[in-house]
Amino acid sequence: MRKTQEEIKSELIKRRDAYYKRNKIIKKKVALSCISMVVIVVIFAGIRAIPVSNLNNSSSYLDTDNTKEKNVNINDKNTDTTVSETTSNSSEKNSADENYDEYDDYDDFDEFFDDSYCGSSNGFSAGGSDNSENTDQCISIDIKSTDNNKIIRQFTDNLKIKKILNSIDYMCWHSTETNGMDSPNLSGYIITLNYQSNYTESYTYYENKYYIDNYGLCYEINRESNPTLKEIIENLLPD
Amino acid sequence: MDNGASSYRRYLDGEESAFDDLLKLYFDRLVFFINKYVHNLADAEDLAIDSMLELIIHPKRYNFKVSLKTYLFTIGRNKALNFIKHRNKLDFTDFSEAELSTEDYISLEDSIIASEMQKTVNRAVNDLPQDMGMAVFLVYIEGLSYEETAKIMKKNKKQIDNLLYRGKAELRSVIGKEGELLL
Repeated sequence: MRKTQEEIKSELIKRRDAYYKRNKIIKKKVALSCISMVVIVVIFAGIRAIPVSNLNNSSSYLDTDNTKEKNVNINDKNTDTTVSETTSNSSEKNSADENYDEYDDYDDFDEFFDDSYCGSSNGFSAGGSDNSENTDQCISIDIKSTDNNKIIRQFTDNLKIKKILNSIDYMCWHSTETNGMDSPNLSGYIITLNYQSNYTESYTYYENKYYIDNYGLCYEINRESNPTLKEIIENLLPD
Repeated sequence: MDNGASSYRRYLDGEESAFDDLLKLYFDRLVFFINKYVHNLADAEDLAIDSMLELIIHPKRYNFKVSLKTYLFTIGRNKALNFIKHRNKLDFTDFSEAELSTEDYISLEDSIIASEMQKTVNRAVNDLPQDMGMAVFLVYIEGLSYEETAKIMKKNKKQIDNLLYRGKAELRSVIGKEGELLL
């Protein structure tokens, strides 16, 4: 027996409702799939972000690499004060650090000073042990080029100063007045310790580890140092 | 706009009873047409309901540029061909429905084809190759144009023309010159 029109109508309504119900379920499933995909993507993105952020935190490694790339030959005197500093994160610079001329040559700039020099009774004491001002704490360290006596680095942070001093193995002392420039033909560095009492002491490090001073006094302290002064200063560079 | 299209427009405008008119106008013809593909009245009826359902669940698909009959017959043909494809994979026969279809076929034919001569042609069409028989059925019994027939059968007008020419020749051999004169 064939279906009557009423039966056909009810069959149509039944199938229509079934279609809408099925459609609704499919839409729900699609929506759920989309949400799951988004969640998975977010989770993966989060997982990917973790190692990246860790890398960003270890800025000292990156900084060291950047500095190494910027090194120039110490024998090339034309390069002094011309290498531009492009490292970022200027918020970490203090005002004194910003005053130096760019002279990013730290080759052979290691093993220079005795440890705990400022305010310490241990180790090497330059400038005369009877000078009570020597025991004052350093407020800054200037690093100058012997070529033009310009400051190429200045460190004012006590921790950084201590790090530098702790890493120095060799040094020669020069009086503040003459600044140790008895051998002007030699290219090197002058490290000046600035004390709270406005007293300064300068030490000169020449290339080829040749040390000289006004008074013919040259102190050489042999101490296995790791890391070297060069590495310490590289790590202290502004970001 | 033909009767069917205007009824469908009224249905889309919210007049529920207009769909009854559509069922009266097209349902039996659709069943009869689909049955020529599936050769089972119960299946044809089922597929015709599915075809009509398309008008309800996808109201925006019909663009009112072709006749609603062409649109429905196109849907019916697609559903019939899909059904045949799936039936070949999973073949089964419900004997009660098969029995039912044989006794109801004649009444359905009576409701669609009035004259005895057209019924003779319709039966002869069943013996023709499917495309040829379908072209003859749509043009000479359903009264569709060549363009509408081409649209339903997914062929061009020239192909329909050729099918009809060869169909007439075949019919001549089946029902004689008198039958051909009816076309």
